[in-house]
Amino acid sequence: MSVVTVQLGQAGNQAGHAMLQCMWDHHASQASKSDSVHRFFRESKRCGGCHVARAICVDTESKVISHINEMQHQAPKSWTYDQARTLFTKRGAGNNWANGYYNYGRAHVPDIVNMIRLEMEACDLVEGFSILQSVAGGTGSGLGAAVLDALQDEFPHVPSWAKIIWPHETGETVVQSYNCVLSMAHAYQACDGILLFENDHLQDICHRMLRLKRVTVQDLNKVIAQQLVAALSCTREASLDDFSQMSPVNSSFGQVLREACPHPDYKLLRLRLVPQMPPTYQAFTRYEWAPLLKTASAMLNAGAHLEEGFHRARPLQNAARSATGTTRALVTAATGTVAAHAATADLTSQTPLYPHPPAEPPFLAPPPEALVQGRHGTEDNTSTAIARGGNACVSQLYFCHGTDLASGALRDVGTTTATPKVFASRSNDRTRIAGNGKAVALLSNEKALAHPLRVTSSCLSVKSPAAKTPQLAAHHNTIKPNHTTRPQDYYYSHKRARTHARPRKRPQRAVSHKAWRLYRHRAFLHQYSAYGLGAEDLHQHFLALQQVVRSYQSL
Amino acid sequence: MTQSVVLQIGQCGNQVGRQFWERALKEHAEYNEDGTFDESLNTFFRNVDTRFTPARDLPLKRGAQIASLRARAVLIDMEEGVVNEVLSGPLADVFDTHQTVTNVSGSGNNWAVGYFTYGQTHKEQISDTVRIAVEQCDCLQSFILLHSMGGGTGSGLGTYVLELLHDEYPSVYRFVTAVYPSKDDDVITSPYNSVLAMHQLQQHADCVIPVENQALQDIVEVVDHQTKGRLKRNSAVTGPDTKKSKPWDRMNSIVANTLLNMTSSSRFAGSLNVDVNEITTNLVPFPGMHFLTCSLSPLYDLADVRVPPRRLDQMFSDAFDPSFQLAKCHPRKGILTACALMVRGNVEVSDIRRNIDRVKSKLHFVKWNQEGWKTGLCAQPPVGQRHALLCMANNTCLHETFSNVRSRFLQLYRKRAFRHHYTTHGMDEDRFTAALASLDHLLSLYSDVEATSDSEPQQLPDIDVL
Repeated sequence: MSVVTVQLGQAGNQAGHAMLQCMWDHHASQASKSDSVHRFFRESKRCGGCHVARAICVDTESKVISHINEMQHQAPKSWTYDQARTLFTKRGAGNNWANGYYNYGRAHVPDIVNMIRLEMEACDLVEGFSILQSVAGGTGSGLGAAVLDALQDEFPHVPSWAKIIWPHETGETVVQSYNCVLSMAHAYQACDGILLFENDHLQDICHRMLRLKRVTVQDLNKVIAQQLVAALSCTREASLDDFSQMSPVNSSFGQVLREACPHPDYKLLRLRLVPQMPPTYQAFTRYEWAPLLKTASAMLNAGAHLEEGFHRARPLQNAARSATGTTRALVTAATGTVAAHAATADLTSQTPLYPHPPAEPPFLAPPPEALVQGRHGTEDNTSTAIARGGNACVSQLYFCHGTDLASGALRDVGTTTATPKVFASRSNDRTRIAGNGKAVALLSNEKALAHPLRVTSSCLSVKSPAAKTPQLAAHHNTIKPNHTTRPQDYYYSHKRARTHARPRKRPQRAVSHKAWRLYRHRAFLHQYSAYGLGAEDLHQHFLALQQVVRSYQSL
Repeated sequence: MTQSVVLQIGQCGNQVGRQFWERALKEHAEYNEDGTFDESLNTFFRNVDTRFTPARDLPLKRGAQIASLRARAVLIDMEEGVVNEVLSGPLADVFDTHQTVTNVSGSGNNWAVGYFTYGQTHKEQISDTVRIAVEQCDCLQSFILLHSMGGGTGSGLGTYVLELLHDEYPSVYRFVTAVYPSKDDDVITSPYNSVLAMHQLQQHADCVIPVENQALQDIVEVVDHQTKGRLKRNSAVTGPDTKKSKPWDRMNSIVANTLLNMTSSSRFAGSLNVDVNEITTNLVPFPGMHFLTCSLSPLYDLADVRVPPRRLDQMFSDAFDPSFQLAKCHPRKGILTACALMVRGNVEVSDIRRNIDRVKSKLHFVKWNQEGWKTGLCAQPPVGQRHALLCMANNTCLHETFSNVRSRFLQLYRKRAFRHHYTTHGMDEDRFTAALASLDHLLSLYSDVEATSDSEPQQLPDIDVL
């Protein structure tokens, strides 16, 4: 039972290294190496039984790979990467998806597939591929998309699970929105599951939960690593009523993926880990299973990524009861008010995700007209929907690690849309994930996941500019004189799209039009067409991603 | 790691180049303690065995000692003065006579002489010299050209070389650092030379960093005024202490530092690498719009211990201050289409995010690219500094710089003054009009961006989310 890790690009290699290191730290200290170690590492006869990661490292420049190899070299009694499973070129993909996909893809994908095949042959049973990549740059996104395509062609029956590092909303690279659209559209076609790690969320976790003043890239990678280890360590399916009653065999990678993505239209996943706290707090903190699970499910309901500072808005009949047991009973006293307040008009999907608590305390009674609006449900807005009926989800998987499993039970999690599944690690696996006695990772396939996508592609239902501002339309026509298929006309014909369309309320949402805006102004397109990606191809990717956003919004 | 070849053309180019190599050596000496020839040193230098002529490359192995360093450079000048000075100066050891292309008579401040006359006569020699330098690289990423725009050799032969490189090595990135003349320039034909050279830059360069003499002078003056001689020895601007240094050495050192910071991320390890090819992808939104404003901060550090060191955040504010720009322009007044922040030293990703959030309210990004940031983190700071920031941006404030060039060109061109100097050296009359048209095209690109920004409201009314 083993998983082949594929690390692509700078971010993919850094995060992959952090993940494997974290997996090693958590599991390898035991006398007998646990199943999780065998899942990600193999024993190599060549170096006298030392452990080698079942990993393939690919990058278009040499620095990161040689750096992580150097680090593994210096750490004795640890694990290593197999040099024969490493491929790097020198020139870099230059943040250009088309360069990575076409240029490097054509040249190196056969070699990469071959390395993956060799690594698979070293496994007794391949459970799946775990692919780590970022989508802002050129290597992870472009070459990554080519590798995903090839994996689907070559090994169609092996489950592939992409872990995608999503860039900061304020921009890591200027062309990130193009790269995101292109690689997400590919990944959606080629993968069985896509787990998103948003850098903004990771940074919030570091700042507010881990209380770090200055957040380094290594810190972000550590958070990713811990979350991934919690979800990818070997666990067994447990009964909802008593976690100690678990299935006799480890649940496979494919099984988890099947549970998490039950429908081909819903492949996006998000991972939450509770509790997250600075290491110095851990010695003074004890957790019980019930509050941990409650917190996790409340976070899911609110679409929040932090344990604190979100509206614990939940279906009213459950609210008062379920909020009492939680670790931070910040809003218990006024749960009813909060739920109503959460439904007010200007609450948006960003607000629950927002790192800071809202400026006005939730105890304040909302203005009466807002209440009325909330009651009648006039807003057709994801966010309000999230706030009103909870964050609809397709699946929710709880990975429970820790002691005293018999006391754990999952009842009344407040979400009606999907039955929760619980996977627990065996109690003799003393995994100290998050350094605590107990930790819960929640893998969810939820409506709020459309949010990061919307940042890049939400702009797709376009009303004809001529209908509203003639001078604007004239302006657009002058900018793209050679544009034959005008996208706005195309989308205009989508009647359903139009009926669903509502004007955006908030100015900060303007950023969500980014990729589309760039595309409409033909900005940076020449960089992509230089490597063979035309405007029409880009347009197809926009369409594909629109489908995803729409699926999620119809939840 | 990839390699870069530096081509320094003309008097100005060679003087900037001298500063560049001096500082590059200093930087590598600082971080290469055991004297081995490593990957990062390989970017700009070769390790050679001097017992052979021409010197032979030694293989790049782990732990190989430095035998003798040779710069990956080609020195071109049509006068011998500066090149000879370099070859007889302290840097003599890093250059070979095989790396130089010289003549004795100079170009007489005439673009046509540089481009046509010397271009023709020295084509073979330059082409061979460059080819030898290229063949010594195992993975060539970029050419860095240093030349001025006002003179004859730099602008004429410099742009001829650029065209040659475009022909022979189309996939290698060409970065040009072009030094624009000041308004009160002593060369009367400099407007002609600049516009004719601009035409070439627009066609053949991947990225151009315009540097104005006036801006550099102002920076040096400000630094002198602020520091009053208490400058730390290793600041970006050198102190006025050395007797031998010429006045423009200090100005050139700013340009040299800019180039070092630009390439730092491809030479040293970092948690967010920015290779030079990423600069073109991220900062050039439309073909032809590849002129970037640059600013370097902090420019100076005080040796005086009583003065508190400048804060980290100050560095990001300074980057958008007009007095820190390498070209005379006001970045806050222009419209940004893209902006790269390349940080070196003890700075973390959260510091960058915080400062982006802070400075972005003061900047005008074009409406269709509100979040056009590119960020880079390199672990190694410049020598003697704790951290440094290089900000490169595609900003429409260059509009003003280029329209000044244009109006000065028109002043002469309307009267047809000095034109015969150019036509007698084999230049076609049409080249003036073509050059002017291409400059107009560039200016229209900038006005287009400015117009888009004005006409589009904050929120596009015509786009809706499902």
